[in-house]
Amino acid sequence: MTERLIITPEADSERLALADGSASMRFVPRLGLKLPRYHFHVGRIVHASQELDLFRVQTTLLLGNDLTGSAELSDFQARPDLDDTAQAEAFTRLVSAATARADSMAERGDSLVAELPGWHDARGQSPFWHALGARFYRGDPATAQLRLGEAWRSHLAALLPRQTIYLSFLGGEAEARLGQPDTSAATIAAALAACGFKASCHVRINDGGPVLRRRLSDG
Amino acid sequence: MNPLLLRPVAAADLPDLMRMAAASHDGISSLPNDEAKLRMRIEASLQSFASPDDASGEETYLFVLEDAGRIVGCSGIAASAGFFDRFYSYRNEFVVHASAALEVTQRMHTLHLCHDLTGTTLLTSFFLDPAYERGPAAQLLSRARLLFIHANAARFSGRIAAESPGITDAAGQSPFWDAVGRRFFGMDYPEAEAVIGGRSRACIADLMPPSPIYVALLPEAAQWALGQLHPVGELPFSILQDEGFDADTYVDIFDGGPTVEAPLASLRSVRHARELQVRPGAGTGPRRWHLLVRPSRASFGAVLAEVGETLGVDDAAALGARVGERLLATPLNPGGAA
Repeated sequence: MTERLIITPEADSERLALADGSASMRFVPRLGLKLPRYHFHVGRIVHASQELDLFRVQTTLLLGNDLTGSAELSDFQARPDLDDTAQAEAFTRLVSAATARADSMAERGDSLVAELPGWHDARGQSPFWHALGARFYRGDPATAQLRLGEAWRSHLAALLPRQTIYLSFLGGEAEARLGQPDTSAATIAAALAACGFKASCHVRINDGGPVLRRRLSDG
Repeated sequence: MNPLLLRPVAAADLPDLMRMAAASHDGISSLPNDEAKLRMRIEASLQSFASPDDASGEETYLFVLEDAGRIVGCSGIAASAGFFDRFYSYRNEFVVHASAALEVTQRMHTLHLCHDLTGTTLLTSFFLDPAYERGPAAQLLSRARLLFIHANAARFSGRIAAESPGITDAAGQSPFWDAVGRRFFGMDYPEAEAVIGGRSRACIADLMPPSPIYVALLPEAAQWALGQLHPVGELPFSILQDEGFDADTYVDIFDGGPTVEAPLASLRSVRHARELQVRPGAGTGPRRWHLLVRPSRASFGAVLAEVGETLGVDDAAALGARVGERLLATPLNPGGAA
C-alpha cells in the first residue's frame, strides 16, 4: 500500500503532507547549499599516560558543516487534536512515504537527516544552551529565532569556538543531556526510529539536540 | 656597610635549605621539601658555577642570602626553561567573535597551550625569611641574579621568565586546577602535586587539551583565579613587576598563576647597571645605596653597599674584591631617594 502525499513546492524545498491532513513536514533535497548549516560533530579523544596510570576518554565537540548536501526532513506538524499515539502513527506514515519517495529521487543527498530539539527542563531552559551558547551570545535565542527564522543558528555559529571543545568543560548537566531529544519531540523521535533513522554523531549547536540519520539507496 | 651577602650555595648549606624548603609554599616546582632532591639541587649548582665556558643550557644556579653568616633566604636560576623537553604555558589571547545578523561583536578571552617560553632563562626558588620581608634583602636576593645573568650573558637566554604560585584555598585546592587540569587527571591539586613532583612537566602537559580554552566556559571561581597570585608570591612578584616584567601574557597551566617574562636588556636593574673598576682607597662622588655584584662565576658575590661615581677597594671589602677588578653596580632605588 502506497501512502498518497500532497506535495507543495517551496523555495529549495517541498512541503509534504498526508492526504488526510493529519501531519506534514518539509523535505529539503540538499541542505546548506545557500546559507551554511552548522552542527557539532561529537567525537572522542583519549588522554592516556602509562607512566601516570591514566586513561581518560574525553568527548569533544567540533563545529563544522558536515551535513552539507544531505537531504533533510524538518518542520514537523501534526493536527493538534490528535493524541500522542495518533500523532506518532501519522508521523510514521509520513516519514515512511517521504523516505520511499526520496529513495527513488535522483537529485538529493546520500542520506536523509532530521534534527530534533534538544532537552529542555520544565521551565523551558536548555542546560546545553546555558553552558555553551549563552556564554557566546547573551541575547534570547527565542527572540533571535523569531527574527531570523531557522537561519539564526547559522549566525550563532559565527559566535561559537571554531576549535575542539571538550564537553567536560560544559558541566555535568549539559554533558548528560547532550543528544537527548526534548520530550515535546517524542512522537517525531518514535516515528523516525520506526522508519530506520539512527542517532548520528552530530548535534544541534544551540541546544545539543540530536541529528537522526538514515542512508538513502544508492539510486 | 650592610651585613647581607648573596653567594653561591655550598654543600654545607643543606640543613639550611631543608629548613627553608619545609617553610616554603611554592606550588609544584622550585624548592622541593626532600633531602635527596635538595642535595641534587646543590650539586647541580656547584657544577654550574664550576662548569667550563661552553654552557649546555641545562645549568641551574642556586644562591643563598647570609645575614652576618646566618642563612636567611635563597634564590635560583635555570639557564634554559624545559631544557630536556618543552616548557608549557597558557598564553592569553583575545579573539573577536562577530555576527552582523545577531548584532553582536564580542571579545573572547582564550588560553592557548604554547611552548613560547621554552629555552628562556627562568628565575626560580625565591624564598626569604619573613623577618626580612620589609627590608632591602628581597631586592638583593632577587635582582642580583639579573646582574649575574647580564655579566654571563653567553650562558643564558636574552629572555627571562619567572613563575609565580597561583591562588589556592585553605585546603590547598586550586580553583583553576579544579576547572581545567582536574578534568584531565581526575585528581585534586594536592594529589596532583604529589604525583607530578619531580616528573617532567611536559609529559603532564601532553595530557591537557591542545585546543584553546575559552575562559567564558570556566566556572566563575576559576575565571577569577586566572592570573591571580598566591599571597606568598606577592613580594618576589612585585620586585619583578618593578623591574619591568610583563605579567599579562602567560599563566601557569596547572594553577593559573602569572608567569612573567621580559627581555633581559629591558629590565630596570640591567638598564641602570654600571661597570666599575675597583680603585685603591675610597670611592669618590655622592654615595647612594646600590646592589654591588662581583659577577664572575668563580667568585660570585653580591652585597648592598653605598657607592659613588667611582668605586674604592674599601667599598667592595665585603666581596673580597681586589684593586683593578671590575664589578657591577645598580641603584637599589633607581630614580628614588638614596
